Amino acid sequence: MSVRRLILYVMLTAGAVSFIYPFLWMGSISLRPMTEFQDLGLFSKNFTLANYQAVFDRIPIGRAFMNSCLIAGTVTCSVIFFSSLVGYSLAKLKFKGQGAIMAIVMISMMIPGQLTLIPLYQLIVYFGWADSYLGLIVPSLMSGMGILIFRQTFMTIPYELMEAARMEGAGEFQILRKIFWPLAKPAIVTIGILTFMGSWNEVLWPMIVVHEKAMMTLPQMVVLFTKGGESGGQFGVEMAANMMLVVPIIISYSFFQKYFVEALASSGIKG
Amino acid sequence: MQGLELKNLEKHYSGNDQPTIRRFSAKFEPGEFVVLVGPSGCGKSTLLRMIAGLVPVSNGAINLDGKDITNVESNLRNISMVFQNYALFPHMNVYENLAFGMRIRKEATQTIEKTVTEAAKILHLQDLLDKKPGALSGGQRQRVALGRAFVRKPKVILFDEPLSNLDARLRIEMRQEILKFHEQCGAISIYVTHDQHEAMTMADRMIILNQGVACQTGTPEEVYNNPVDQFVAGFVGSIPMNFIHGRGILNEGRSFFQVGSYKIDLSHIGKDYQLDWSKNSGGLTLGVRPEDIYLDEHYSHAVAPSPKMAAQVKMVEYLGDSTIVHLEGDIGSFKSRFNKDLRVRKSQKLDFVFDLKKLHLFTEEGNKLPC
Ligand SMILES: Nc1ncnc2c1ncn2[C@@H]1O[C@H](COP(=O)(O)OP(=O)(O)OP(=O)(O)O)[C@@H](O)[C@H]1O
Ligand SMILES: [Mg+2]
Repeated sequence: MSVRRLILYVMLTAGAVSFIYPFLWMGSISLRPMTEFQDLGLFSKNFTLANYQAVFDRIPIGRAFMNSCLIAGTVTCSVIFFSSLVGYSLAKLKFKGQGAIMAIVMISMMIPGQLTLIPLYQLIVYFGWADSYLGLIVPSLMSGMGILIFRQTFMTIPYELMEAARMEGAGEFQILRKIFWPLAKPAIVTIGILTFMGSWNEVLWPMIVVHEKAMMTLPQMVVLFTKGGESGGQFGVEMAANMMLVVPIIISYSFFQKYFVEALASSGIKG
Repeated sequence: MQGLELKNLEKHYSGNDQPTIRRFSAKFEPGEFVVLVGPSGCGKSTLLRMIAGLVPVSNGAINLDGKDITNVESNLRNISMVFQNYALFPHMNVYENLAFGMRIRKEATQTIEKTVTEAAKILHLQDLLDKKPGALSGGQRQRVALGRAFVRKPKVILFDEPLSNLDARLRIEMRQEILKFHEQCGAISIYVTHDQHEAMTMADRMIILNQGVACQTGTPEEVYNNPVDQFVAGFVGSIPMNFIHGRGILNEGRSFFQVGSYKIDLSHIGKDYQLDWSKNSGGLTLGVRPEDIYLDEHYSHAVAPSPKMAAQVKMVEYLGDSTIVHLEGDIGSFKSRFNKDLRVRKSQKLDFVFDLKKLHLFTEEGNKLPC
């Protein structure tokens, strides 16, 4: 191994460690008693689950976890389903108003979310959806980014495949289901992960539409817990709550990582 | 009436100012292998797609076995298509590719299995059934595509340049496979290619298409020996016909073709043309195939020789079975095909004759004069 290579590896390792270490430390602190929170090491003789116990005792975090799963899961499925429908029609069909729909999709992505926050809230209140799953889910059922990624991916699939399927009697939805979805797996996984993470980590919107504890999402509850005083400033307990927030994401990411990297590389979108 | 009938088909894509297909009429008998040939962009694929029902017809009608199918959905037409890039579904194995249509039609598993096995046997695909298309060679993919067309038991099979992605040797092999397959199917095959050589070797009948118009329909022999116009004459033939541009003149009541000081008495060609050459400025093109040019004194008794003309050898292409000689003379440059035993050298000056019985004459508009 050349010296240059060695230096490269050392630098990469240093970089990786400096990113990963805070996470590991967070995990470690969440498992240790309050008294050790100034220790920057990772190991201790006193590992305990007391902090997690404290979190479960003080807030309905199990319920919040279920809420988050339900919301992020529904949003993810819906974004994949509806965005692929729209992406397919924009990429492969010809119809009046196609340009206009494309423009609407683009514009919807250019408007910052903060701008639509108040009107959206008023609309949700008007529908009577505050403090409900509908209020949390419906606004994110579609995604402009999802539509664009699907359109881009579908455009690379040759027309002949559609025509071959059509000659065998497949309808548009069958073509989508039997040909386009299987061929767009990397795009589906990318959009799935991006949407799931986005929905899972969303704090602002739940804060606005939900006030009942039973309807709160996990990040919302963790933020309120750590910043709102219920944690009593206990660092280890706060870290335990944070861990419950990030671990599902890390697990799902490592599960789909192969597809994810592949898809990012092929779609030219930076994460 | 049995067979496929196209009546005055027209296609006008929106946005194009010229129609892509103009008043195309043709009849196809069951079991016929018809090759549709023409230069790139002349509308061959468009015509196939209209027959397949993938592109709506602007005008005209399509009848199959006496039924009007002009506006019938493409899956209900009983027509299969083999695409240029095969259009196999990359994520399905060969079995699923063959079974795709039957699965869509929700046929029973046993029926599917029986049909796929039968097709696989005919096309020698038995060992490939669980492979994905990506793992197959070009020829194997081609056979899967044929198999997919076959399992429907179609009345018409459309081929859109199915061999253009294969290398030369495999192409020749697959031509035979396709013809064999066609015989087993008994369907009408309509085969598109822009390779006139492929067209000549495969066709029962060929249709030459130019700018959306059918110029000529006939057996390869008819088309080769009696092209209806200059376009067909120039298109058909692996070494294109030579065109020598000159003028028609009337001299003492007889018509001559003249270029420079070289003259051919047209009464020898066949008809005695009583034409007023001065009317259309007198432009006349003589068409002669490379194999109908002979070295003076080397022709047989069967040949009716034209007056001699001198030319210089510019280039010699030795092909093994024959030799192509590029020549330059007073009448312009032309190519000739000679027996492989004949040795000529570059820059050599020789005398040549045409076979008067094999000449073609075209007016300035490219129309053929009767010979
Ligand atoms: N969907 C379409 N919309 C508009 N014009 C089209 C469309 N499809 C084809 N054309 C035009 O019609 C003409 C004929 O196209 P077509 O694909 O039928 O030619 P082709 O004979 O198959 O050519 P090639 O040998 O290159 O495949 C072309 O000029 C093309 O630009
Ligand atoms: Mg074509």
